[in-house]
Amino acid sequence: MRWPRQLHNRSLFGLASALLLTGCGGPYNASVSGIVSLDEQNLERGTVAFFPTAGGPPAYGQIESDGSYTVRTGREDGIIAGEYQVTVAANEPPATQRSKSGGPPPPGKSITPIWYRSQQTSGLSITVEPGNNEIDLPLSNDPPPNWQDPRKRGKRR
Amino acid sequence: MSENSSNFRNVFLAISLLIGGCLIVYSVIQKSAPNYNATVSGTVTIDGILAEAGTVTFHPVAGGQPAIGSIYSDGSYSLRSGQGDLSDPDGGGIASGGYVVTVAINAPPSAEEVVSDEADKVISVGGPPVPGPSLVAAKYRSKATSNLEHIVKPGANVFVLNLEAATSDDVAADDEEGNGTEVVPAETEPTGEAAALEDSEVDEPTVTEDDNP
Repeated sequence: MRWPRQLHNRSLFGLASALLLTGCGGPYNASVSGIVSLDEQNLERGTVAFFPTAGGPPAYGQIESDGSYTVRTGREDGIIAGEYQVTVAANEPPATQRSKSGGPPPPGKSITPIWYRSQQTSGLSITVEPGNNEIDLPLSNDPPPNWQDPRKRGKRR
Repeated sequence: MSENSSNFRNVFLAISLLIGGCLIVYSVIQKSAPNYNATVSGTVTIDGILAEAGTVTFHPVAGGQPAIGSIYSDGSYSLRSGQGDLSDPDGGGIASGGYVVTVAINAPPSAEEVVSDEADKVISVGGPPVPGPSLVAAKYRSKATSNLEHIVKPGANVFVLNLEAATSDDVAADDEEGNGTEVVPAETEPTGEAAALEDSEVDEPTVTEDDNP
């Protein structure tokens, strides 16, 4: 009669610790939100990504129609304070839902300059402090210094 | 007096046997049920843009029931086994271990488009709406062809799934409309070495410097 009870206790303990691990608040000690604009014009759609320089899962935010974004890591609001490389990507909505032959819709035109799509070239290094962070991302169509368009050197196939 | 107490003993014995039996059955059930000691959530992107709908399925490499999750409109997902935890949609546990991941994302069905297409194959007359075309490369649909693999550790896991968009190659006999090449995949990339994706330490995308002499 003893060991099943112990097992029962163990599973309760497991449940409790699982609840603690996943429970309210989450493991994230900072929040980030702000406005994304391109040449002073708020973006209306697109994706902001925060890549931790220390490694770990990136956090993402969807750009709303008013240009605002809030980052989430997985399903949880928030992010771990630290250093990040930020990327921004936005496309026009695809013109059609389906290509003529029933294939996938051709992707919409890119709104954001392509250097903002890569951690290495975006030039957006950002420090996230513990607590609430208001981080606006004013983007520009002017290329950064030393920028070379990779498309001019052979297209990706 | 003595009859009374033996009666009491019998009842006591019956009750304790019952409780003992219940405990044993319970522990056996506990043992045979998989150990759901991990939670998984994350984000899905298609060529760097957040997905807005779809389904993520984690197939255990060791066999057994897959874990599934819906992609929310903000690109996030969380996995559950079976019904999961109905009171906490993100709290569903899954067993730790190795998984192959498949993803299905389709454009929403669209009435206008059914009209505009030359359509015999597309139109559904009075039937359920035909799903839109797949938005991600066909390889993600099957666990035989998906190159997304993840090791789920006990505790909370966050996996970002960076997918490639569907190309016209995914539909046979699609005539290339060679315009829209404006779009370059973002940071997202080598869905190729998926194991390394565990925390999305992603290599340089193909668009960069050392690409071409």
